[in-house]
Amino acid sequence: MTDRGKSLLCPRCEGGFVPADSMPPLGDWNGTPYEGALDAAVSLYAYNDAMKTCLRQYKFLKDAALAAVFSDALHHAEILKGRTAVPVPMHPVRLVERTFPQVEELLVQAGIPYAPLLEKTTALNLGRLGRKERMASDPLFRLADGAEVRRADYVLVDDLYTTGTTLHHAAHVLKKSGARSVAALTLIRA
Amino acid sequence: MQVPCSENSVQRGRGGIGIHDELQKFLQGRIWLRELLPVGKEEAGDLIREGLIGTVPGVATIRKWHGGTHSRCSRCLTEDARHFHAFNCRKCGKVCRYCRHCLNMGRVAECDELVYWCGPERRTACNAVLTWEGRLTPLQERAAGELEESLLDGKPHLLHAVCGAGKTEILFRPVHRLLSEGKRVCIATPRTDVVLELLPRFEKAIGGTVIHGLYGGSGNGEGLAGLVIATTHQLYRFREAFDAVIVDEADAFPYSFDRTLRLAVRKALKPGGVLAVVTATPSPAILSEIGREGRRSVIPVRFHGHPLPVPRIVPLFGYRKRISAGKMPERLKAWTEERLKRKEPFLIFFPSVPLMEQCLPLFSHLDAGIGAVHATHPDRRDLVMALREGRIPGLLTTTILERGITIPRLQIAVAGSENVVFDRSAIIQISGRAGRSPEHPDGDVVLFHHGVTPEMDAAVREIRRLNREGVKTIGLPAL
Repeated sequence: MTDRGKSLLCPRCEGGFVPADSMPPLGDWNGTPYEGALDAAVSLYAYNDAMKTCLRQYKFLKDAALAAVFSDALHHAEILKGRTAVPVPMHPVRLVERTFPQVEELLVQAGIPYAPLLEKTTALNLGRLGRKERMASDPLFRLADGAEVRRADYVLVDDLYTTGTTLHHAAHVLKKSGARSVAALTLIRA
Repeated sequence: MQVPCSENSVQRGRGGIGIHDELQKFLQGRIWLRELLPVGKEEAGDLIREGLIGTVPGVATIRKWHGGTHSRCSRCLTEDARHFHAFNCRKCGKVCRYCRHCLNMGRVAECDELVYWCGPERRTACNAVLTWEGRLTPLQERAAGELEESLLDGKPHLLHAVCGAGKTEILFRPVHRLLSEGKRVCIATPRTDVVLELLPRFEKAIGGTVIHGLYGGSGNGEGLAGLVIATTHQLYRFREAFDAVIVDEADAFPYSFDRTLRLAVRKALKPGGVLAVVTATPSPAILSEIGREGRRSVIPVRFHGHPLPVPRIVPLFGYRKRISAGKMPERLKAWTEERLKRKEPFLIFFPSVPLMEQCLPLFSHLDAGIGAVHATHPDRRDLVMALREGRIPGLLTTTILERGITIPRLQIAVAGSENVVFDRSAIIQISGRAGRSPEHPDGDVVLFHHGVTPEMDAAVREIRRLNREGVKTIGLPAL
């Protein structure tokens, strides 16, 4: 008699989301200082119109309630098993503007424990930059105060994989600090 | 223009007045998210301290009679607990609720502030001119006079006019009269299509005043408008703005179903402002809105004096099964072929999008030009335009086209009229699409059904009754 275990979406809306057809191409980064920073990468959904609408409502209309929509999918993601989840952080200024951390909120709603190990150094918006500029940008992350990276397996979690700049920068910081392996899970492959 | 941050108070003062002026034109009568104001943060803070702008918390906590509390959105006035979501807010550092009901207009949370203009009120210019030169029929003339009188007396008014009675023309003179007295008027309607149709007609008919057309995706308009033509949803963004609000097509979805839209209309009225309702099918909810002291004008005939087409009721039993099997129901096929042969434009209404899309290939067999439209169809406007210009023979549609569409010689069929979406008022509106031009005052309206419903009967009865009344008023022969 409860709604437990049922999807939050109607079948029609849910049907609009399609699984990603290709995995993020990590080979693009060969020959850069970030080569090999990421050991594996998985995206759950393709960036189609339904997903664009959903993400727009979540991030730009700040509809935090939508975080729960992806709980099930995240919960069943194989790549999270046996690895410590590390959400890709937002810059504190951006966080106050958005009022909630979009990636952490996804994990909270899915009931996945996570370690906030990273800190964003710049409030710059990558979305405004071209592909080349993105791939050549200065370091975007540093280790958070008091964060302790062990010789363990980590998985970075983010909403979008576009060129992979964000994730490679974040993975680089973790690897440098002693992580054994770093994988990436993104909701969407753009 | 950006005001330079300088210590020179004279310069600041001058810049401030310019900003005041522009901001007042924008904000007077509106209720707006503070962070979305078109001025800088400091200026907004200054104006609030000076008492020119008032603020209210975005989501208010209301104490109930039983001691419990609930939330109310200060913009859309919803109090439904399902419309609120609580989250851990990093802006205020607390658990904060926000309204999901009016989310598309920019999120309103507990820690957000809504602002409104509470400085001296600016009057709109009184130099509106009526450039419309058409003539009204005696019945329209009488209704226009009655409406004008009610609006000036501050009495609510119901204008009950059949489809094709020329409702818009009736509004011109009363609206012009109010505008020329320096009053602010709003014509609100539940449908964007109706806003898009009314706006050019009013722009042509009334000159010398600023007219804004507001709907989801339109801009906010420049300057202080005397006349605002808006969807009822846009009235969420107004507060004590208008001396008169005229709700057109008040029986249309979702106005009659959504209580907050009716509250929004009330909120948009100034204290002592007056409400008028225009409709072809007054529902009990509308009648109660007008109340006991409200006045009423009825126009039972169309402007060309011909009676309304009475729908024919034709059985189409088991049509769903046939359509699922990929076959066209015979009677529907015969009707469509007849229309194609006579080259008459036609609309076929379907109760749901999936059924309509299932049918589209069957119709494409008869004529490849036949298209289908629904609310989220990307080229909806183009297809309707193509039908109007005769580039395509006919359209399949959902109830989205039940009102506001005028095409000469249009023929109508409803496939599956037993469905709940075709209630009395929907069938009356749909029948009203036929026979609208004086040259072709009759048209075929067919209700294809899998069982007759009381709503279908009620609609036919109502149309017959209006036709009888129409005959009494102008003495034309009955059908």
